[in-house]
Amino acid sequence: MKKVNLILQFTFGFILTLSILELYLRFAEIESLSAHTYDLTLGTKVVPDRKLIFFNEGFYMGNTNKYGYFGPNYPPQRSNNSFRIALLGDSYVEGFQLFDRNHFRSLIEKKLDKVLDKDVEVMNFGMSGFSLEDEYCYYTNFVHKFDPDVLLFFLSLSDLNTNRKSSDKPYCYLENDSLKISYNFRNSDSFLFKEKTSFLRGKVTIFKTLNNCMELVKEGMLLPILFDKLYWGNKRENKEDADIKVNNSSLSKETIAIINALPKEKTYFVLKENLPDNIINSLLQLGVKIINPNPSLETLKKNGIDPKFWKATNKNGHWNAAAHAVVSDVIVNELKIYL
Amino acid sequence: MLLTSITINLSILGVFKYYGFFIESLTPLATIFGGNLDYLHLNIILPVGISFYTFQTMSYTIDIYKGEMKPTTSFIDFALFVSFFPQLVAGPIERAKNLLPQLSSIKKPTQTQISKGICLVVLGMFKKVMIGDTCGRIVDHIFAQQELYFSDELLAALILFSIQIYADFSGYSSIARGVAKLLGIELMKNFEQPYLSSNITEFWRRWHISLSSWLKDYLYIPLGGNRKGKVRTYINLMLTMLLGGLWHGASWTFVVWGGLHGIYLSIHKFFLGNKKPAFEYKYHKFNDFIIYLFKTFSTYVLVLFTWLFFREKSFSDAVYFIDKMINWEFGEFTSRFLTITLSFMVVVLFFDFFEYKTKSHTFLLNIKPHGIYYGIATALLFLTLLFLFQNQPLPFVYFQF
Repeated sequence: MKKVNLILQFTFGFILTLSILELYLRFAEIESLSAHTYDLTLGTKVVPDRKLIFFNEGFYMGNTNKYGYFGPNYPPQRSNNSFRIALLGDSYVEGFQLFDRNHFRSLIEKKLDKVLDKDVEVMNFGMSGFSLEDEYCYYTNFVHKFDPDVLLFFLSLSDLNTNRKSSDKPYCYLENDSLKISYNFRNSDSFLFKEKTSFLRGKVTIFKTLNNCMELVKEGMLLPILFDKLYWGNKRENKEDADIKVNNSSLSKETIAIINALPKEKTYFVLKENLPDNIINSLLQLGVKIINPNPSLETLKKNGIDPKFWKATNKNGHWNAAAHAVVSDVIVNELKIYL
Repeated sequence: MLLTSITINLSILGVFKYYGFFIESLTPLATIFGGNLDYLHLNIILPVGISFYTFQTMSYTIDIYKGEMKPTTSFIDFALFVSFFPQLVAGPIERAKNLLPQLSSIKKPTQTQISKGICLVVLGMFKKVMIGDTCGRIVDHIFAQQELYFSDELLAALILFSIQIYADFSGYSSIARGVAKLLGIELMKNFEQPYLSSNITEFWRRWHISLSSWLKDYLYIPLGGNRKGKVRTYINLMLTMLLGGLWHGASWTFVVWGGLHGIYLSIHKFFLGNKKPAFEYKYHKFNDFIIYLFKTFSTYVLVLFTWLFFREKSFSDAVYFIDKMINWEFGEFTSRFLTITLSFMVVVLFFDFFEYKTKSHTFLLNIKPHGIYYGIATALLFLTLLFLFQNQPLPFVYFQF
């Protein structure tokens, strides 16, 4: 009886404390709930109206809007006097490293607003890990509903690769030379598990933290983290670098089909890195308009500001605030020419 | 002998910690006269915890000189006293007369010491990881690029820094005391709810107690303390606090930090006259409580202002911060920063309140029935370990000193 009492007391103390700590985590925004949830069409989608905070090489505080993307609440139905730009890309576009006011989304909006006689609305549809293929699916299934005038795809060489099939997202394939989207992910065990358990990560911060830790263990980080500098084994390679074998000699048939399926008159490729000349030529031949901010970013670096260096954490990573300002300048200047 | 010992200790500290600062400070003067001191710059790595163990060693020599203790005959005991690992890098700065006798006859820890030790380690880790580090993430980002943030965000960062440094340092001290208890050794308390102080003198009796009492016993009193007239008292206070500031780091911002505290203490001494400052908050009526709250808030604001100089890398950064405070602008996240700051304050206040009420840093042990205590401690440890695993922990703030 004594033991049962002790177990009951322990459980009471444990659950009560975790409940109070959950409130603390929420109010002090130590950890935000997951930004994404699972969707039978999109695979992964942004949770609407969610407060977010992230600490990585940079610091992000912001929220998703009620339509499930980043930026002000611009509804699918647009006004006649609006000029819409949709940003599509990976974590560089998602921008979980700095506040929206320093992100090129808001800078482009402000700068173009002064130039154009329309209300400029820039919408951020960035999502971590997205490649051109993912962005095409996302555009087809979601972004097009907002009827943008300009589509800016932010891409690197690896993003043009179509061998990054994920079991959690739709992907493209060719059937008799015609481009199709597969939704096979709906039946995958990993997607079904994530979908079923997403409410836990979406509602309880401690579960999200626990899940993050489990992901780290799965990635083989248990020993490196536990032993830190004493660990002599191989540390985790950059996942993207490890997984992607980039074909830099030519574009695949699927990539060409995806590019051809995009609305050319409003599509621009913004290069996150310099691409090989043959790839640039192929893109130009396909009628893609290219915006390359890299020469300006290199100038920034020559002037003593590394566009990927973050002072607070002393780390290299995504574009910093200075780089975002430069990228926005380049994009605005190029768009002014095209428009 | 005393002079030799002090000279050697201070010389080691001077070379490792202040040489670069000295050369840097002289460089502008040399430039005026057409000189160049670049060749004198040495890239010396600062040994971790040097300020702590130098002071600890000096206290040993001075106490022997003053006849307050006898010298140890065991080199091993002395070496262990200087390098006792739980408090080696960030204190508490132990007195030889307290620690040496314990080290020379180490006993097995008692059951009470083990329970208190575990409780201190759990609470200390929670303070460090779940309060200190989580505040620190915001603080580091905002202070690194002040130009990107609005006035309210900068002010929130400064308040969060005041919480971070308290949680981080008191967390470390708790872990050190807890680990020492597990080895059967008792270390002194380093913090006693400093932000609940209702005046600046009280603050210094509650903040970094081992350093402030060291400075009082080995610097302020030998300088004459308050025994040589009012003016000398103020001079002694200023000197003590300026050197206390410089002890933290070789930088003018630390000198300003110490100087400001010296000014605060002198002004308080001036108004206090021969009266003794309050050390415990006693209030019987509601009005007294309101006055106490006002005094506590005012003391906190004064201390907060000094933290600005403690945290900033340079004067120009501090001036930039102050300019942003004067030309106030709200950002779009005012309410969120307010909620975040208040949440951290409430948690720190929660700890301080129970520590004060129970007069113990191991207040959790008072919870009855004990099963509930085990549940609470396990939950605190569980979450702390999750965060420790998920996020790279920040180094302890006082490790740099």
